[in-house]
Amino acid sequence: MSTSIMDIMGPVMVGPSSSHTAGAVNLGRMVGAISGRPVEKVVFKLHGSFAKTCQGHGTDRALLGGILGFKPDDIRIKEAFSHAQRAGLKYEFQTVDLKGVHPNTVIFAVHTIRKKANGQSTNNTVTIQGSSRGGGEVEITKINDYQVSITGHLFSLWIVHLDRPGILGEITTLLGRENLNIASLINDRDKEIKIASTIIKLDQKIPTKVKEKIKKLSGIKKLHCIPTLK
Amino acid sequence: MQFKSFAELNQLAETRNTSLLDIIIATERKEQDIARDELIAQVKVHLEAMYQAIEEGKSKRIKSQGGLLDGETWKVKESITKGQQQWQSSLYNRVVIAALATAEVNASMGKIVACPTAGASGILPAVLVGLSEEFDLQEQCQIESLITAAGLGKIVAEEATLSGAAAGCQAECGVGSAMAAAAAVQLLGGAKEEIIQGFTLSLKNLLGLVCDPVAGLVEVPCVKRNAFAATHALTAAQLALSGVKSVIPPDEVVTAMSQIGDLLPPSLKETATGGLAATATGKNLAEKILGKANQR
Ligand code: SF4
Repeated sequence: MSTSIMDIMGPVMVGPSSSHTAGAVNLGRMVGAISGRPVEKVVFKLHGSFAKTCQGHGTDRALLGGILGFKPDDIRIKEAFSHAQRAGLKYEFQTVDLKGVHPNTVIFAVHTIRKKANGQSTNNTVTIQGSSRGGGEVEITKINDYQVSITGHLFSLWIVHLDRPGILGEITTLLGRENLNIASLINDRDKEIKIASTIIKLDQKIPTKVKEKIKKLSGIKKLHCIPTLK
Repeated sequence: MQFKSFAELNQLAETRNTSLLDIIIATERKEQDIARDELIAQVKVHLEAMYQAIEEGKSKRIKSQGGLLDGETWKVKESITKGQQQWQSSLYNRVVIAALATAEVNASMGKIVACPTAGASGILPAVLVGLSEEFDLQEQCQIESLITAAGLGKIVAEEATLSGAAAGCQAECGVGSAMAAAAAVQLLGGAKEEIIQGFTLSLKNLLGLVCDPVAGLVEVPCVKRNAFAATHALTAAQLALSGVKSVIPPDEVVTAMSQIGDLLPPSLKETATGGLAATATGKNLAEKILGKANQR
């Protein structure tokens, strides 16, 4: 699609930088959506230019604000530290030196606690890596040890499943039956433990009933719907 | 895109005997599948956000996030209040204040409109709002001039770039100033040819502008540059409205911008390793700010 004039006279955003602030907010938003909210604790590991100019660009507040679900034009971003405190979200910033990645890259170690219906709760930790590619555009490149590519332009389904023959066919058949058009599909597997990760990008949002049907297929370990950044 | 160049845009408007604005709106409606009312409503939101940023920047003394700047808008405003700037026209004073105000709001994590980018966000709003307040112009005219300016900026975005990292500051503040000049010419009743000339004259004169921000922050030289680029747009508009033309046609100016961007070394394209960023003072400041940040 061609550029909209609204992107030339916009976006409306909290400054100072589209890559180091708006992009950082968007990365945080994607991560919050993937891990599921509320988030208990995040450790941010900043690489490259993100590590170097973090404070002056407010990259730290932007990432944190994104985790809290703020959008890039939300003026609460500047006060993200106190909003995180009030929300009981713990955080820590570290720097890392990664090889062969985009200069604006960050790794999030996200800890969530889910209360189950029976009153018990489960602890979960997920590690997500992403980069801010300029102009507020972002890409999630890794979830745990799986290579992915999620940009927030389309609805995405992230499924972790047994690496068994036919399982992808069953998933795509279910989607096709509901008239959900697949834009792309990326699959990555860990041969040793026979677990695979699949990212399916769709033109439309996936209805809950379809999600439930996929969950019921044999060998599905985890299923997450990742919304668009709109 | 229905038009890929200034020549095509102008041609389309000529053959259909209409304005640049109409062609730009028609193209946007077609490409983005959006109704006219909805488009206008969206533009209005952006225009309002521009006003808000200016008001916010004028309302208090602002210290930038990285700490390199402290109350630049405030200083100019005080000086005007004290009657020390009466040698300048009231329009000029308005434009300088508004540009600094927005750029300082941006540098302190306030809300701005990235038009065309966050670093260059003060330029077009300063000219648009400055003129509108000075001459009491209607909102409809302001919305329309914003659309035309963005339509011209889009040609540069698609044929070249709007990124300082890709082509230096000529692509950010240069294009910002060009868009501001186009908006000004339209607001002041200029013809299509004059609107395009305003854009071209302004961009042409900022070709080669490098991106060398101290410590990699959008503060030095960015904030003050917004004020310079905004008043620069007024000169371009004045020339264009007088019938002065760029000897080099608009599309060739964009090609030149692209080529210069390619020829610029990486040290002058947002990496903060050359130019002002690499001066003794620039390095010292970077050490102070970034050192502090790394100790957190
Ligand atoms: S100098 Fe660089 S960072 Fe500053 S406004 Fe220009 S392009 Fe943006």
